[in-house]
Amino acid sequence: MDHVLNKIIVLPPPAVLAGWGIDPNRLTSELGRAAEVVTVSSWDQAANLAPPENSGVVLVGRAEPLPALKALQTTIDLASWTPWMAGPPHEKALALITAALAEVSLGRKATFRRIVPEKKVLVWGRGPAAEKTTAALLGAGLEVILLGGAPDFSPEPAWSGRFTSLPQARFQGLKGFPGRFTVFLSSDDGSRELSVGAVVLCGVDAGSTRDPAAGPGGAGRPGFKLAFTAGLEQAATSGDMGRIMTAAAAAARETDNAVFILAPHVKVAGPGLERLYTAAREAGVVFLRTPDGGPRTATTPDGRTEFRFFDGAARADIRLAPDFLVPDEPRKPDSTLSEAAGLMNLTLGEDGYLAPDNTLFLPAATNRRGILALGPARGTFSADVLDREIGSAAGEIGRLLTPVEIQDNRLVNDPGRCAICLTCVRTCPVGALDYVERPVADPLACVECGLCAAECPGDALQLEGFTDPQIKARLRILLERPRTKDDFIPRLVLFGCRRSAFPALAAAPTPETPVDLVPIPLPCAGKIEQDLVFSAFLQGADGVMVVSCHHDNCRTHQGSRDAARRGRHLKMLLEKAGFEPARLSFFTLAPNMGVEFQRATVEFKDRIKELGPSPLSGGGS
Amino acid sequence: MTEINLDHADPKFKDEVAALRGAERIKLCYACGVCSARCPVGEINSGFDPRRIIRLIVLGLREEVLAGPWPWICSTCFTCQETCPQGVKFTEVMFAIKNMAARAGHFPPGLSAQPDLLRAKGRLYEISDFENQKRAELDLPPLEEAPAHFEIILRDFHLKSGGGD
Amino acid sequence: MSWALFLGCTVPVRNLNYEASVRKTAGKLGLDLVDLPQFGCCGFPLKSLSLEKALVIAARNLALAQDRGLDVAAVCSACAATLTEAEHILAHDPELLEKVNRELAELGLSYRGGVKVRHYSRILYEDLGPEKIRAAVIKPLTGLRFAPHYGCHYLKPAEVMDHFDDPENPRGLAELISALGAEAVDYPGLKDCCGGGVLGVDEDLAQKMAFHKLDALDRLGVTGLAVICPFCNVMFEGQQKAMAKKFGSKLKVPLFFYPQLLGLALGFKPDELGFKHNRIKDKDMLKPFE
Repeated sequence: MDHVLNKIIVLPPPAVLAGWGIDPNRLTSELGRAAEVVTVSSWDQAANLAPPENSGVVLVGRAEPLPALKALQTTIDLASWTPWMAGPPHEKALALITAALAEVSLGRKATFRRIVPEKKVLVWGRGPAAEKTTAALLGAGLEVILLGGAPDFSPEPAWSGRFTSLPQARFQGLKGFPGRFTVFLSSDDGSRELSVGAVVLCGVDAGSTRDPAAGPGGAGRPGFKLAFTAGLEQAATSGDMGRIMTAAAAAARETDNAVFILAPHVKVAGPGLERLYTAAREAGVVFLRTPDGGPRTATTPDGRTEFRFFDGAARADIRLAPDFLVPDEPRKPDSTLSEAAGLMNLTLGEDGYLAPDNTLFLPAATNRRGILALGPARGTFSADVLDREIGSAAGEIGRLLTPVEIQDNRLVNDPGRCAICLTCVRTCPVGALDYVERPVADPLACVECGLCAAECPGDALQLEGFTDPQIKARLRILLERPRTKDDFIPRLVLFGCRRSAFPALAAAPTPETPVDLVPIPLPCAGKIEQDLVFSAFLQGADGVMVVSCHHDNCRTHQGSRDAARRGRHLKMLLEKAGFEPARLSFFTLAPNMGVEFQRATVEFKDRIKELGPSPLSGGGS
Repeated sequence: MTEINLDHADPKFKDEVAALRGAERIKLCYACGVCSARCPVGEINSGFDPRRIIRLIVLGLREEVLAGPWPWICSTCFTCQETCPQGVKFTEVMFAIKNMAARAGHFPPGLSAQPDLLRAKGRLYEISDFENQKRAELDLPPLEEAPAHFEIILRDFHLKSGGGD
Repeated sequence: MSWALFLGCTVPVRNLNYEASVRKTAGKLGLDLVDLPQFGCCGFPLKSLSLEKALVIAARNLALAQDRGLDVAAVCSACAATLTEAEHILAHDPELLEKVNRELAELGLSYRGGVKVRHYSRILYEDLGPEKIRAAVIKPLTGLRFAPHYGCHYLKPAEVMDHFDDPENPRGLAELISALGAEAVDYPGLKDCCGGGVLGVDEDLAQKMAFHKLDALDRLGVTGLAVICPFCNVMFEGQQKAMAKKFGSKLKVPLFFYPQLLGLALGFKPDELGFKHNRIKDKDMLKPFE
């Protein structure tokens, strides 16, 4: 079916190629038979290549596709990759480009669709967060439906034409995609459906910013000591820490009491926390660091709890017997949150709020595009953090609800293989898949991670650019390259996330000892499949590395964990098959961890060198 | 001191110190210890530990800080102050503490002579004919003692007796 | 350029070589130093006992200079720092200035702010500059190696000193030494404190601090250590023999005030620059300048 018609190889200027040790003329003549070869002096020039839509383009010397180029693209980051490969520079470049060319030859032409989103937003919640969000969205020119708000709330009259309040309605469900969701509501008079472009979950807030209570404020007799604990029983979340610091600071400002916070660790790595920490100190709150095992406790003759622990800064044991003690306990979200999460397929954090411990969910994102969570829905404790969340949400919604022209055939389903098991729909971490006669991915929602394709039991679902035939073609061509004859240099296949492993490779210092790496970028490490790893070993790889983002930095909050899980499973299978499981390595990296990439790769190479050539390789000496 | 019982501490002490010029940011110390690591006095006398002194102030150990020897052996080199990531001006904190200690009657014996000398001569060293004769040998102009202003400025300034510990 | 010369307490009694060399070199370089007989203590000795009183005393000196329409050139780093800091504090705190002025009124003085205070070495470095000094050199100190000692109060607090030189990586004094044709020796203890601040309270501690630096310099082999503050001089020159004895060392590091070296390069005789007051020196070094 719609395979690409033209194959274009885009080369940088000859001088750049020569700088990489490549003969430009020889390369052009060798490639000229297989594809059209274009030399550009800037990537802007490449973005204007015609004809675009039915072409497959190989960008040589680039790390990322060109957003402006509407064609199937693949990139070869020659300068970063080749120092990690064995062989003469020219041969390495030719192999990489040939592999990329094979990949685009198996691709399909890109098709595009215009999407005009609904400029209407459902805001769900009660209290200041919901009301401020409503005002911000109305101010941005959008229409707002407030669900579950206070019955007497009304925004400025000028906006009344664009505001609807449904204080009594109940949320029953949601389907559809960003820009065109359908929301199902019910009330005593029956049920109704609404079309909205986005949803903002604000949770329920009674309006208090001062819980827990600031202790007995009037107990101001000289020497009165008030103490809060934070995380003595179980680690305090950043939200708990924020509330405790807020309350302690207020107590210190408003009373003459001595105020202490006992904590094994003071978490300030959250929005607004560092400022709160400073404010609490300025107010006179004394932070006492308790040992990891907890302080020793006793009861004083007058019935107070006494804590004893060593203070490193004071170089002495400290005894503190507060007159009033506020022990921390984890705050629980209101029950509607988990219900809403279930109805909308949203990922909850461990504490039950809509804020998984993942930097990519900040400041107001959820795992689903077009559905945002802020304020009490994500356990936000401070007004200025809330303002930041609202600002971010309004900006994101504004961008999302703008008409857009977007490629709509990145995910391909083969009806002949599809068993309609809906594993893909359940797997999708961002809620981008729906089943309408066949699984379809919404282009606005899909983040192109390929997890659905990795899980599909029938291989019926494929992500363009990373289809099984495409990845295997690249793998085969690169593994067929001749091995070095004299010394055994282990050949290692790198299956790496393009968001972390490959940027880390690009940032890595050149290895000091020769490495024979086969670079295979994946859209997400979670795209790794058993089949691919076995293929690599069967075609002679001496070792295979699967490299993903850190778990709490994974774009999908799932792929990295999937990759780790498959890695464990594969090791077990390899062991059962009598093949050294040490030949498979899984590790996580952040994109800027070039030095760590180098260290891990070289260590792995040395380990494989000790093991010797793979029994399946037939290579080496 | 091996144990600090906060029942006997004075939580207002840190506020009193923070109210003094130069000591304003003391409560912001998060005890990173850069001051102590770079302190040249601490390198020789490990008992002198700027981070610990700040901690004792924040915990409210008034007597321990004011009556102890520590503020007076700060060499006022300002290394800690220039390095502190929290902008705590430790050298100035030491001056503030010395002022408080002196008011409470704690100061080294040598120091009590200084206000008296200034009142009497307007300077720390006597200027007599002997000094001016030596100065003349190098063509330096004669100097005179001009204590009048100092008598006025320091007329009410008397160190509390009991110093010299 | 005219400046009120602020000698402080120590220099005009204990360091006549320093004072003489400052006066001689300033005259030669066209810096007009004016004596104000009423100048007295800068206020620093009282800072430990009363910041307020120290400030009034410092402001008194600033007011005296202001009455004569002069900025202040100080030769002692503690004086320079105390007076600079007083000007800095009063410039940022009008209420305090008013309070200080109520006390100054009793002396028939008032301070309006704005008097510039400079250490003499800072004037040489900033207002004159190493290039002008290099151009004025008649007898270059070729072949001599001097280790600069900046001292703490000359550079810090950097905020008060307008960051005119970097306390973590100071250059000014080295450049001034190089301008004389001598070699400015960089050494590991360059930024170490002399210990002078605690000499009166804990002699042993102060000596250990100073000895550490001298010992290292002694091993390095330098013509001498160039200082610009009488307190640093007390530690490194005045205490040197006692320290050598106490710590069982044969160390001998000659001490010079920088303006003495400048004076030699500008063609003055060692006697004019008070070298006979230098207690640790290498007589051969001075022969070419006799």
